[in-house]
Amino acid sequence: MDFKAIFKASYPKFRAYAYTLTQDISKAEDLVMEVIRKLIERQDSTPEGLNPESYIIRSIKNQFIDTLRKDKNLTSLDATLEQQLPDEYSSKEITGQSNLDILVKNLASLGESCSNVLSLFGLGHSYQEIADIERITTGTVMSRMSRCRQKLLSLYQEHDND
Amino acid sequence: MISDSNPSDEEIVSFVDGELDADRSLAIETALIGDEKLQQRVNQFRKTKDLLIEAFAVADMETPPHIMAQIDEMRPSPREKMELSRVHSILRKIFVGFRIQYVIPAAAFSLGLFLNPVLIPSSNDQSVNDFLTDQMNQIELRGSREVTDLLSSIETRIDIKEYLNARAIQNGAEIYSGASLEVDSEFTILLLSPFDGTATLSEEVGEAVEQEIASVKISSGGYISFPIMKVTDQSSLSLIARLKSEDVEISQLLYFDIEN
Repeated sequence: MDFKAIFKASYPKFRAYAYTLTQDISKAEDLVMEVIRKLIERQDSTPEGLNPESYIIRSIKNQFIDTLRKDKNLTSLDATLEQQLPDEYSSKEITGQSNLDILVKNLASLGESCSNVLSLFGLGHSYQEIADIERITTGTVMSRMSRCRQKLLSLYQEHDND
Repeated sequence: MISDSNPSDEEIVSFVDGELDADRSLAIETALIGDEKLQQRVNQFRKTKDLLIEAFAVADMETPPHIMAQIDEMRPSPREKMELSRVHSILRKIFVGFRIQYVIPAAAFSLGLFLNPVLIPSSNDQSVNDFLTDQMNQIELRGSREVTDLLSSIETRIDIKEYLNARAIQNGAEIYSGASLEVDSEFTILLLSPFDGTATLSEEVGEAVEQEIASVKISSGGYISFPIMKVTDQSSLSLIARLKSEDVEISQLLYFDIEN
């Protein structure tokens, strides 16, 4: 599997997805690079029934879960380091993606199951691909799409009213 | 079936996203004519679709050149070469100091190893590989372990390669870490033990705070089944399965969403 070509073509997509998980663009970039390194080093092949992009997305999520606990202990250190860095290196300066920033914050408040299906849909995945990545049925995707999109709309309407 | 006058939210969202089949889409399109309330519902879902696609438009940007360069520099690890050199090293260790008087005991020992699976069938008919259904949920443990042949007293190091493939079993389905468990529904955690020792299952209840759920003795090649559990009032569940033998300790974090 030529993961290099896929990573080169779709890196911004993987980075955006990782951002919805980490809610921190620097951590998202680290997460994606770690997955790229692992998949290229291990010369993985894609499991049957899953397209390579979906496999990478799933790998990013699994890697995020694996590192979740380690990150908890590093949070305070990261914050300290970030304060010491010049402005041009701060996460906010790097992103410059205001719409995505707002959406990521709103998705986080909806919970992980909503955040995952909505971000995957926003990234252009079909219901079937979302079901394959999340290991749920397309019926569940449909039900979450309906429930979570209504919640998302309410959040934006609340912000508009504020 | 769609009730033309009042399609469900699931049907409307699928219609908006182009995921509904042609017949059903046509039924909604027909129902939309002159139904302002339905038009409003459709527009609300369209708004969220636009919002999501617009926010994720950054994903269509080009990959920055410095990232392209970093990816180009990455190389597959020379796993095969390393393994061959390790085998060579092990063989050299075995044969250094090998004496002629060891030949008979060593041969007897080897014959015993060879015949053991034939003469004493394993209580578990399936090999570890039979359970490798999903690469992403395995934790692979590689290393070596010192083994002493009791007959010849020859000490050798053998390669070990073990897999943990922990998953939840709920309503007869296998649910892997990262997926969802149902609220108020019984489940257990199942995994295959790669060695003799003990297995502990804990719940992560706070930052670096774990609460032990169960601890059981385990034997190599056997299933480890923890007690039946049920989640009632939380949105997620973090479990840690720890397996410990005399010389090895491995763990796997399992994270589940809890779905109503």
